[in-house]
Amino acid sequence: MASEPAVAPVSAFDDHNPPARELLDDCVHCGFCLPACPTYQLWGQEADSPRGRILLMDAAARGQLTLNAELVQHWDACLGCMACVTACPSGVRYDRLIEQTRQQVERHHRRTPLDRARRAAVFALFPHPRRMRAAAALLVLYRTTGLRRLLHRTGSLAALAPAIPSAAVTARVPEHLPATTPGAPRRRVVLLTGCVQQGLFGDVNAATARVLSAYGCAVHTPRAQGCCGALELHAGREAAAVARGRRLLDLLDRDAEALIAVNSAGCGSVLEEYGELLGGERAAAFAARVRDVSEILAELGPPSPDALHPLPLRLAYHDACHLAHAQGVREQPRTVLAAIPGLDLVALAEADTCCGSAGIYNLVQPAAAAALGRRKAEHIRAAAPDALAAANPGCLLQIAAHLDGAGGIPTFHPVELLDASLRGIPAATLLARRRKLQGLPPGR
Amino acid sequence: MDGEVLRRLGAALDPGALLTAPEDVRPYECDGLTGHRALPAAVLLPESTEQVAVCVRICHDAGVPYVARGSGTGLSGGALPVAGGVVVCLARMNRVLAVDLDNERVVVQPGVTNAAVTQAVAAAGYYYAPDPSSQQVCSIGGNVAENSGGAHCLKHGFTVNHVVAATFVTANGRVARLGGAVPDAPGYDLLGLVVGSEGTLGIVTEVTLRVLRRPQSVRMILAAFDSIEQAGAAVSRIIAAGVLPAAVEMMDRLTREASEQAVHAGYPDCEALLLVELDGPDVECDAQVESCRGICVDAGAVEIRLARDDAERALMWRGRRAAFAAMGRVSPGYYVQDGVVPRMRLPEVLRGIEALARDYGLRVGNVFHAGDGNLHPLVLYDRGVEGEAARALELAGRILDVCLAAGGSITGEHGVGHDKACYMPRMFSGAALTVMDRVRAAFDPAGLCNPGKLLPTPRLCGEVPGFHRVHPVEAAGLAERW
Amino acid sequence: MVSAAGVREILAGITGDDFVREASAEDAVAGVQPSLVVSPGTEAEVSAVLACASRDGLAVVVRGGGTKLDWGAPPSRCDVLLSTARLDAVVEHEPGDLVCVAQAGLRLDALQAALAPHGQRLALDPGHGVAATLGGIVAAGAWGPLRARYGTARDLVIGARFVLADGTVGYSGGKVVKNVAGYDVAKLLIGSLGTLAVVTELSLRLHPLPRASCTLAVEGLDAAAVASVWRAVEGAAVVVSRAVALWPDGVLLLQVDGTEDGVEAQVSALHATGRLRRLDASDAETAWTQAQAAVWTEGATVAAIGVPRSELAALLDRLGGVAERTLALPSLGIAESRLRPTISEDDLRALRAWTEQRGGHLLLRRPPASLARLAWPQRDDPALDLMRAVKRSLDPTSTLAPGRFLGGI
Repeated sequence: MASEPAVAPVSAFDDHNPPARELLDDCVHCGFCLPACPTYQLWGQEADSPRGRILLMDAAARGQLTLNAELVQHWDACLGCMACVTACPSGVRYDRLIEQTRQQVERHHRRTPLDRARRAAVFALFPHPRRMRAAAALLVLYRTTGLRRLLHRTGSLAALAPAIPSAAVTARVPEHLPATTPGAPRRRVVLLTGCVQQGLFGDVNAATARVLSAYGCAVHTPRAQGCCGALELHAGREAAAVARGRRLLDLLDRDAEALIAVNSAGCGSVLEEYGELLGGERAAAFAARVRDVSEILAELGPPSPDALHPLPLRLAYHDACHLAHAQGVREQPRTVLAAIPGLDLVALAEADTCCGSAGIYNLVQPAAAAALGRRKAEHIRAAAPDALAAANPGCLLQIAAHLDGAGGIPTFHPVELLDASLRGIPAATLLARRRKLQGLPPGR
Repeated sequence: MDGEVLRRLGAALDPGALLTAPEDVRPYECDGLTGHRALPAAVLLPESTEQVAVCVRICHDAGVPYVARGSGTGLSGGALPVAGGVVVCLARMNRVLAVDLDNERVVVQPGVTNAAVTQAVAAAGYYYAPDPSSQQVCSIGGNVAENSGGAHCLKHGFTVNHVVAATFVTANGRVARLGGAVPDAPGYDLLGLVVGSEGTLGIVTEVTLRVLRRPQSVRMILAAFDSIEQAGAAVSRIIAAGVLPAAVEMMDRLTREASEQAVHAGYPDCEALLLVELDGPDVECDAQVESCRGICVDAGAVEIRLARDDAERALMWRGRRAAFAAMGRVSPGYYVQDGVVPRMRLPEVLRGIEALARDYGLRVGNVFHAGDGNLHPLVLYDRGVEGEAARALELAGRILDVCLAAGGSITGEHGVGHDKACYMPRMFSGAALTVMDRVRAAFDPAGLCNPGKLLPTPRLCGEVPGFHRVHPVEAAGLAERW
Repeated sequence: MVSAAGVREILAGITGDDFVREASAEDAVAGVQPSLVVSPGTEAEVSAVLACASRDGLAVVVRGGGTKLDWGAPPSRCDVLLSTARLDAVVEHEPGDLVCVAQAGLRLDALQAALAPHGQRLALDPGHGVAATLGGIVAAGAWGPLRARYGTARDLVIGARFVLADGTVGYSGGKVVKNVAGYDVAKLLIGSLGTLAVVTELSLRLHPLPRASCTLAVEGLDAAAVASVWRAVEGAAVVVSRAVALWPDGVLLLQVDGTEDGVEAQVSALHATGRLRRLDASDAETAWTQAQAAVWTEGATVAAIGVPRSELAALLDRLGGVAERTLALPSLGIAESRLRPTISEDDLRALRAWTEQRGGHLLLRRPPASLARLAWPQRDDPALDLMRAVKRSLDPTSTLAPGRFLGGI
């Protein structure tokens, strides 16, 4: 047989920030990531596990595979929850690898028209706080006019529409809120308002500022903050994410000693990456000052022994992926909540398994997200708590959607519970109000 | 592969359970032994015994070779596909089917992870004893195939001592029931043969396991020594004193440091670290702890610590279990070797390994189950240096020779698989291998069930000088070799 | 077919004249008398003898101490009795490794005597006769009460050398406990009653002799109480090395081993479970010996029974009418029962069916000729087909004890 000219295999990736060879080679194929991966737990298919996804990246880099729809789907199906990073004994930077891969996909893979349209719609709405507020205002109407129950069956974007309190739309956080503890503030913090948080959960931002202030922080909340770029970065839209990042950095980086307080897990994890994303010492120094709100509160401790009023209720705490796995923050939210007298933190099975929200995942991979959302809801119901807390707006949207109906349980951001405790709101009132708001039947 | 065969396989399975697209199939090209890869034509994801049986029947009738796979964490390439053949992946058969604590039995599908078995009975105070380091992810089916041990097999035995029954799909697609609900099932102990047969005799689709009551007390001693020899001597003295620890593990400096980077268990800084776990009734356990502590001191331990509670003990284990994977931080290129030597010969064998490593100019980290002489030398190499990987592989092979010379075995846990099939003649005579061939032929006359694994073949191993096996057909006088 | 005299000459050429003789009535195997008895002195001689026998179409039965030749069905043919009596050496013993290698013809008591000065033993205590050899115990899968803690031959044999009917010398396992190289062919041989190969050498896992020991008895128990006392014992966090229920005596006999302090603590824990009587050392010795001897009396037909252990109480009650004496292991649901000599075939079938309905089994040891056909249960399933395939592959000429095994193998 005549020999064929040897053709060097061509990588399916371009040269701009491809999945790095050293990172790919770190994977020893041990498989410890498989039990941690939600999509592997759902489907039992190797290509939908971190180990498999890395092998596919490696194969694409070696020119053994091309970026077609089947290949891309395996990477699209990844939640980006980073439970695998926590589980990996070899220290594989899967988070970096999937980010690099997604950017390549965005640049080189032509999605279907429907998929393109869906993504366009998402990115036209979510990263824009003003548009989110407008949508929220509509959602308030949606709730009060009962349209919600009607549209819930459609399984579409509308199904995720939470019951939005009017306060969420109207709440404003003062630009400067001094510490309410006596003497000089114990910390100066700059508060991130986020995009989804700002748009749909504005009252959570207000509560966050109040709680930080009560714990001794002088809180500066710059106006007109935009999205931090998390949604775009996690979807592989690198240029857009970098642009947002630069804008936000300029806005928030005014005080070299202030901590950047974040109450949204997804945002916090991206801000901590700004050093690598944006480059330069300033971004790196900024990133080093980013803290989740719970980290700040846990470090400071309650302002006085009797500052926190009792909230006797059973609480299940869900670990948002971007807080637990991406930032390694697990103990602090629990410590801070446990300081509330009478509050009983109940054990929750698979507490740090993704709920299916995962950025925009529940919008672009609805079936998988729903399966995970249902699983999360089952575990929560099994723990029989009076309420559920999670430190991320995406999680709260997703979980509330699946915790709906007769077996429903009200959901909160942890700072809302702290806020209520500081203000002496009785547990029964707090729960009843939230149940009513979320359209749940009254509890016990 | 024939389109008609694929169609029939697809029809036998649930929708989405037949994978043929390159993107879907490529991740199955290897297991934990990544240096050897082969692309199957199809991957099957059956969900019941019946589906497995029908698929095996189809493959058998069509002459298509097939390889069973669990979690793909094996280190001997036992799940390495046959190029162009079929992989039967049991990962979706992952349910615990029944728990019967009165009889101390748990029935599981083969895709259930090892750790999940213990989880199913933990609340009642029971556990499943064989605990390979990969237990969070490795499957029971894989454990059965390899007769996995784990750190606690010293006292509590191997998978074969904990499997009482299995549903077994034979190589021609029939379903056999091996063993029974009760021990001593009448007939030949086919179950005892199948456990450890590395998936070459058939496919197990359901397993009945024996679980044990948790002991009243479990204690752990950490002992730090200035040399591996001293640590090894301590182990021998412990055994000689009549104490049977639940587990005895040893790590050298290199592996301990790597593990610390990954897990931060807080191990003492030393040349050789011993982890001794003791279990049993309270008073008995206390007596054993005292005994062992005294022995370690006499043997020259520079530091001795007792784990204060279960949490600390668990952390000590996490560090040990992460050791292999953690080595990737020290040196991304390394081979994990698996060999066994009689415990009394450990010191001399380790000296031998050290000398070999010096000759080859390579570093070797040592982690081992000191209690039963099972070594895991980790041969490190720099991927950037031309030819170093090949030298490391050669050194790994020489280490096996050292083990054999000391009266040991070429594999204590990882199995022969693809990796060591060609070494079998160094441990077994031609006649002994012929017997194994004949056993295999009884189960799989067509030679389609995980072919090329466990036993050497001329194609796989080349012509090994002096290696001549009598073919059963020859032996029956029906053919002549020329 | 070579004549008997011709065979004798050939065999004598292998082993020497002194070690081949004509068989007598005492050499009968379950009533089937061989022509010749041969005693090879080495593995090579065993190989040559078997090769010769299979070439000449002769049937061979292996004998160690002759204590269990009447287990299983009588062989359909028996021409040569191969005695392992001369293969009786301890080949290797490394106390530090707790491993020894011994030839198959070595008597168990002789092995224990050799190990005891090192404070070690083979933790196997079958009670079928002092002449029992290692090879015979392994081939029969015989066990004693120590199996509660230490298991059986299946758990204690770590390697074996054996010879196939055509003379091929094989081996599996090795001298180390941790070993997964190759097929564990020894597992097939354990309990095979010599129908697949002749075992010549065994590598055995040893255990240290206990420092202190105590035997306790609980008496006057009915079947339900046996089960409930046993559950209480299990819940008491004690490590029991032997535990048997003697029926219809209604006695539970327990042995606890360990350090002196450890044993005392466990005995105290046990006192909480019921009215325990502590036996002194010599009474204990007698009690344990008697436990098995009472079942395995001369000429008795014994049923080896297995049921799920949760059915043990039901088994004891069920045995009432048909068994004279039973020794049961409550931790495993395994029992050995001396059956009434007058037991009818129907009663036996009914008892077997009763055990099988519960997922168990019943085998007959030493059946009289009238019940020989019931020695093994009837079965016809893919597993039996595999067993036949194994037999055909390893012994295609049906040289070794044909007809002795399950399914007429």
